[in-house]
Amino acid sequence: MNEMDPDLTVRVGPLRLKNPVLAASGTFGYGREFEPLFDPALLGGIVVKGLSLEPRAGNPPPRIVETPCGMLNAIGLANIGVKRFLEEKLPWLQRLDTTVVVNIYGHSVEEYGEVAGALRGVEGIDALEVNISCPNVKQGGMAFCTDPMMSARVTETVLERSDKPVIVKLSPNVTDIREPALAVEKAGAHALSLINTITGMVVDVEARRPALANVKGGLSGPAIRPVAVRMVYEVVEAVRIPVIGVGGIATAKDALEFLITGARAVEVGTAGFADPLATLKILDGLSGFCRSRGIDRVEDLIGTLETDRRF
Amino acid sequence: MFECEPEITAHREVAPGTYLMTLREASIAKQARPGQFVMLRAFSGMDPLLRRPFSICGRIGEDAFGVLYRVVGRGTAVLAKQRTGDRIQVLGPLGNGFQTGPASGSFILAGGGVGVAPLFFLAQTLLGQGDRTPAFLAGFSGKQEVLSPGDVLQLDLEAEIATEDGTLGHAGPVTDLLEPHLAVCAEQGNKTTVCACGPPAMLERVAALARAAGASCQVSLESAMACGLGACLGCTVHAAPQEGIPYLRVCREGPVFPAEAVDWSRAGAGWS
Repeated sequence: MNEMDPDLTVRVGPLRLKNPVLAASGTFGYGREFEPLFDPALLGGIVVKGLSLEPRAGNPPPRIVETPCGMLNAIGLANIGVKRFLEEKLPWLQRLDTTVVVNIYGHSVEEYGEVAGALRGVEGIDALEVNISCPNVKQGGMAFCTDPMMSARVTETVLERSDKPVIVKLSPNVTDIREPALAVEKAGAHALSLINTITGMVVDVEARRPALANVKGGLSGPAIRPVAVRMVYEVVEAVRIPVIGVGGIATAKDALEFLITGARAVEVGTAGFADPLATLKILDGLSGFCRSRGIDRVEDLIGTLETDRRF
Repeated sequence: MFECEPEITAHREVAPGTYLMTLREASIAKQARPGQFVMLRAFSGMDPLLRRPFSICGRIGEDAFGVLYRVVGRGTAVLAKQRTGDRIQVLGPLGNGFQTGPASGSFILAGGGVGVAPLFFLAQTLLGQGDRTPAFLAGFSGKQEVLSPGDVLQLDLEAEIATEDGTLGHAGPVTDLLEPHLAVCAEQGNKTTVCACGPPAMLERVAALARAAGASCQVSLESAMACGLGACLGCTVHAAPQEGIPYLRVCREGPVFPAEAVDWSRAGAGWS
């Protein structure tokens, strides 16, 4: 390492990442899709596409529509299921020299437990990220994340069945995100990631129909970044476990907003669609920022936000 | 696959609201196969955000390729404002192109509107292979919209034209032109491949006519896309039952599909 190069390694609870930039779930496939363009091992980690016990087809098209500074998607958590993931995708991920996080979801508390159990003891998976934004089929379809008690139960179940660090991904579609954050922390989660997409809707005025076949979708991209930063700010104030910032990060400056606010790492998603090399550019920018300001370790920036009223 | 920022070496309006952009990037021009596409981004900043997918419409000279597009929204409006000498972000070539194979047999290319774009590239490639001159059928709304392989790409190939309003060529849909060609091929017992690109309704009809005539048929489909790499799963179309999977990604399994892989009863839903 060059003397001038800042130390980009960060600790996120039990995880030690080579740098604070991860690829977000659902935007990086199973890791290989971007391989023709760059070595995914350059990233601090990758979070693979949300995995359920059984394969899932996803929603009918149209599934995406562009919005001002963002996009709305209703992919419907399409994925190949645990069995095929382990057979087809894992061997390549096991050889990948960076942190591999597997995003999991279920439609019942039991299903979350079963997915976590199926990944127990599997080498090459460094942590689980639990998506709690799904509808709870057994409880009238209300999303787990909207009920702190259900969020906690999912977390406990995954922790019981898993031997890996558990990151719970929080949804912004709640009144006060500190409530699920605290409940999940109390349940034993090792870390939190936030935010997931914000529920939205777009109407095609010519057709007088929703732009998406699913009617509603999840809003992502730079449009949601200030919401994400605000929520990270609220959560890092409230909990003691580490937080990973997610939501509209497209540049190094965006990533810095989250790190300074107190996130220990960031996930980049939609920006990687607009520019597949966005993550690498963010890494370069973080190094450059640290270097130009004489900061030796990126960890020294984390949580350095000043909120004294001086205006 | 390359991620690059080539220079626009030519850019002209070839029909009202339809442009031909020439991009100098030897790596893409050399690697690209007919039917493959590129993702273009000509905007800085975050709005519009996503790259737009466009078929490659042909090789231009030694080291450049063309993109033929129609201005339909914000992304293409920005694209149309780019000038010769500007640079834009390009990712490609992407996806699976037309299967031309070494086999003998005749090719019929059928395009609707700006859907002729990938067929120009295919025609150019077939013409470069000597005795494989395809029949080129193209349908447009009217005379003003006509895009011919000779005018746009200087290909030595006469197109049969159909216009909906009857202002040029046959008055009616392009599929009217296809039927007699298929009949001749069926009569002669020739192995025939139909390659088509255009609106979903046209493609559905082309696929049905080809099937009835015993010709193989490949279609190039269009979809909104976020990544073009197979990661976002945003560009799916309904697969035919025998595919064994419910959806196909236009970017990875396509954009060119065997016509029988697509569930035509649900193709094109929602997008125009």
